[in-house]
Amino acid sequence: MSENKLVEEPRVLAGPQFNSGNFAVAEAALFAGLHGYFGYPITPSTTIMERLASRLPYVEKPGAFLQAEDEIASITAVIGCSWTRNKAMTATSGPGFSLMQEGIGLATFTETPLVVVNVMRGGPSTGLPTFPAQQELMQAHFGSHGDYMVPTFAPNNVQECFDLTIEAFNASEALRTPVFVLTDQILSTLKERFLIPKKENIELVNRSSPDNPHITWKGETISSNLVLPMNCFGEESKAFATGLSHDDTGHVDLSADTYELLMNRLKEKILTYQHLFPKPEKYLIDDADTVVVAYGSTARSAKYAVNSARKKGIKAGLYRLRTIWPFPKDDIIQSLRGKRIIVVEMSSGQLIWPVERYLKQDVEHIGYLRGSVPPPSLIRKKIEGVN
Amino acid sequence: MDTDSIPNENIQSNERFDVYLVGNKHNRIFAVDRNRCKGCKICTSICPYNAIFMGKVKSHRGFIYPIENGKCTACKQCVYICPDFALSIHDAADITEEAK
Amino acid sequence: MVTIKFDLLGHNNEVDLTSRMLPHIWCSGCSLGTNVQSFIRGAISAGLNLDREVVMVSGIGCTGRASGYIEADGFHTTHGRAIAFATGVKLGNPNLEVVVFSGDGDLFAIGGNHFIHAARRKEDLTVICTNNSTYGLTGGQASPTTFENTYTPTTIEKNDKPFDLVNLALGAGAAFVARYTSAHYKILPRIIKEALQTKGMAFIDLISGCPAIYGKKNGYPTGEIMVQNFLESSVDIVPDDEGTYLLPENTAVHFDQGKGYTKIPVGIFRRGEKK
Repeated sequence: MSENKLVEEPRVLAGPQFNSGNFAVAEAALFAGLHGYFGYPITPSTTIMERLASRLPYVEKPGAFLQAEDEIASITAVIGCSWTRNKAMTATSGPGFSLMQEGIGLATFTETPLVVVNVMRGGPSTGLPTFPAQQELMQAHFGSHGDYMVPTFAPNNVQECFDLTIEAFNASEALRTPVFVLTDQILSTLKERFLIPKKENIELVNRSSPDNPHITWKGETISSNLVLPMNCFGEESKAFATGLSHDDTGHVDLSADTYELLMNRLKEKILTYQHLFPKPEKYLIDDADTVVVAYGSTARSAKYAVNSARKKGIKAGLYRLRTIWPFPKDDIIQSLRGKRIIVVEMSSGQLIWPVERYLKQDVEHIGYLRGSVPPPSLIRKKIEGVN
Repeated sequence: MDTDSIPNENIQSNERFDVYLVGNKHNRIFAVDRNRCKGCKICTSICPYNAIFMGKVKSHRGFIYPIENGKCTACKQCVYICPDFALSIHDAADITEEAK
Repeated sequence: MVTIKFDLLGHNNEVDLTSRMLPHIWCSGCSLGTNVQSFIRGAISAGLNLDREVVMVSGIGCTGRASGYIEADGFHTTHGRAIAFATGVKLGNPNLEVVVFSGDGDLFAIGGNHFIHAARRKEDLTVICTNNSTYGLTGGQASPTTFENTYTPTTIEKNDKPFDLVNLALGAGAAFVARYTSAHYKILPRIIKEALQTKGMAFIDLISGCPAIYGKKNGYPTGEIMVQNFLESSVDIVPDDEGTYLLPENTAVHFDQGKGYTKIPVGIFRRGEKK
């Protein structure tokens, strides 16, 4: 395949790069040891798929790449690949994310490590395929039926696209859970300088096994009572899993006690280790009277607005979420309660729900629905109280 | 008289299994797992030697179950088709010990 | 007098069954248990170590539970996704023998798209379809292989023409296509062995019965009658050079409301390259 000009050298890239968010996501996945990518082309996530199509089968340890017949097949094949003790992922956008909800429910219930990158675009339905939005925040939490929680990370620059994708793989492996990375159309095409660190400087986590039940992540030992050691296919001990309620061996058990224990454990394992997830960025909030709460590319505009408000002498700050679910409620209560809060998002009102719920106070809102990030002037005027 | 419906006398049972010694030399055993049998009668219809018939007593799970009448040749046809994994044929030597 | 050692007793294939999950959930007379047993015997005759080399993937419904009764690595997926899951497993670890053991509703209604694409891509899977022409677990509703003029709770007046799974698989590009009934337990292990050893997708349309619901309404009210019905209506295909045995009129299964199956063409319709 060396004649194919798309194929670069069979090494994970290193050092400083100048490229897009989707490029960074793809390279981060290779860096983390991705083995299986199953996807379906959908704007604006497709360039992740294209990048991996030209890279994954040709790197030093070649992996499996497949363009499946639809997003449902993609996510289910990702689950299948993960059960062979391989890191697997998919990337999608809007309508594709909706189709994947079924598989995401299956992955949470069978405790399958995998990463789903959702490059958000305007919805509902086909919506605004080539423009950014932030309308899948609630879907990331409540999209599939049943109670569950998927750790959800949101980068806001190309470097973070790289870093948080690696964090996502680590979290998924350490806690045996699907993990979402929510980026948006702006980050997908935005080109910036970013640095691929040296391999030895980055911790990579691999899931537990019956032989190695105690794994550590960020210096913390993950409890094997909360995260059961994973038996995978083709290994010595039997691996079985079902989407039905099941006991610790994976076999069907529909009794009330088993179901309650399982549901509680699945919730508990995420909440117990949420302090290891990416921390929020707190920009000038200590002395601030007014704090803008935002995430993703919206926060870039918000930061500009906060800076220009500061120049005018207004004490403004920015609280930027990097982990959205589980929502950092203790931190946000401690840092922001009592301050004037403005939630800025490219949605008619999703981020405002948890912010209002936990702060238990009136919260102002900019829900920008014009297929672009809200301009800094709009946010600055809101901070200034000018309408 | 219908000899097909006279149970084999060489039977031993516990709370789960009915075990019949079968074959010319009584060197095979035919076992019925009453815990698994659901009384579908497929075994009686498939048996080439009319060696099994359905009893009238129900198991603890509420199903009638097959009874062997001494004609079994241990051909295993019923074992292969039994949808409930309830029937089995073994070499008697593997499953028994001579009483002292 | 001899003493039986009861604790040594068990099914002849007990080591390959998940004993603690038995007795199974299937109704009296259901073909699924026979199919599971035929599969186990086939896998053993193919020289496979079920415990280490085989992954059983099943979809939803009655047949979906099969993977939980076989002592092999397995996964019980959501409705229709068995083949999609199996695709991921096979690409993740090509050394594994991946078997999709699922039903007609799962594989050809909600999962039909996955089936045709996996066949088109020549994925190295063995797909065994327990085809009982109905949705058993949800109460006997119509499936893509429910016959015309038969009764189901959701098709009171009339049913549409069913899929002929053999021709569907041949058209989609499966490498090995066979049809037998669950009453062919004598020959099935050999067929399953050949399917497992075929390169590319091997598909077996395993005609089975649901005597408890569909059969009761439409012509085979018990397992006993069902087995006789299968054996009497099965017709061995006669392969010829012109390929007339592959014509749709010669591959279709016929069924009469009230009488049960009237014609089931059985045999191997396409043989593929061996691994």
